[in-house]
Amino acid sequence: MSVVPEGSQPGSDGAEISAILLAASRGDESAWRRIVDLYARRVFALAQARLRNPEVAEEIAQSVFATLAAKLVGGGYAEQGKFEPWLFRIASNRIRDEQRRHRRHPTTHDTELISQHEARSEAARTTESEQVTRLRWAMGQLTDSDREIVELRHHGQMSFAQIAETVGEPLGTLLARHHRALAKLKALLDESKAAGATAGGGIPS
Amino acid sequence: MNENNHDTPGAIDPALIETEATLREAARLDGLSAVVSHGQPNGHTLEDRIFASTRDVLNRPNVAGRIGAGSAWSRPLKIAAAIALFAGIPGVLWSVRNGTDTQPATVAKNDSGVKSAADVELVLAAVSLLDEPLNGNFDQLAEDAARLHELVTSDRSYGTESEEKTVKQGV
Repeated sequence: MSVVPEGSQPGSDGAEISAILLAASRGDESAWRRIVDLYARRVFALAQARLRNPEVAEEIAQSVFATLAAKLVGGGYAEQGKFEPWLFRIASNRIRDEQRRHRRHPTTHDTELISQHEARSEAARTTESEQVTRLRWAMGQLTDSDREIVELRHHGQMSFAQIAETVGEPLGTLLARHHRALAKLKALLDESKAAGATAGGGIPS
Repeated sequence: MNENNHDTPGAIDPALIETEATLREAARLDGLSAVVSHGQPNGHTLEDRIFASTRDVLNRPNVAGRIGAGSAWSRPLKIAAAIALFAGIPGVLWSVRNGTDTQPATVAKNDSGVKSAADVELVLAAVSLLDEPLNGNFDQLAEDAARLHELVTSDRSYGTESEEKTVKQGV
């Protein structure tokens, strides 16, 4: 199932997207709404996969779309035919920046916010399957670059050609890396499942 | 499902089908984890809120243009400020030292570890002042900082350095 809401599937036709972008750049609000409907959820999912914080993920999605709107009306968008790689490159950079910022200033003293976030995380864990919880742990064991490829593929819903364009790697290299990353994820999932079965526990520490 | 998922070979490996299915489920849940807020004036879905917060940018191109121009200028200015900070403090130290001693400015060898740590702290403090990543410009910044550090910790005076540069440039 797609993360994009029903009735707003992304168009694979580049010409269609170009026409919508052109209309939006001329101030057409319905065209802009269409772009937001097509891509906001995918950008949000990508940020949420990495940051595990819906508020921060939404802030990032908002900043990406504010940048996009400013570029469209200011004439700064010149990536005709490569819109999605361009959009997700902006999103990936913002996510990386946020991660760096968080690593530099990891502490927060707002205990109320922390407890709210932990309560939501706990609620989310109870609604997702054990396999998904294990997968999230396994994703954390991948290198940042391999994880980015997997997330662009599944959360960003991009084609391999688009991902290759986004991360600046040859298609063949990218396919091999994606396959290796999936194989590693599978091995980690099998390992954690076996550890959980023998110890009666869950995810390895 | 996005049609993009089928336009390139390489994704289907029977041994990995279950892993891919779990990834799709995780992605779906992440996409649905956006806050649904019925009380917000900007709308209760993620798309409503993003649309509401960005639609004004479309209708005010001049504002967007000014924001873009401001960003374009602010970044080099911030980098210049950071470089000036690096350049200024060693310069002040040299001036103070030179004011009480006629010998060229030097730093004791056993003091160099402390100086390096202080320099690193200085770099980190200056970088934290910048709310944007330095990206490629960081290399230039680091190079300038390293050059300044060498100048401060070497036995040569600023005068000697200037003379050497003049000779090298053939002026």
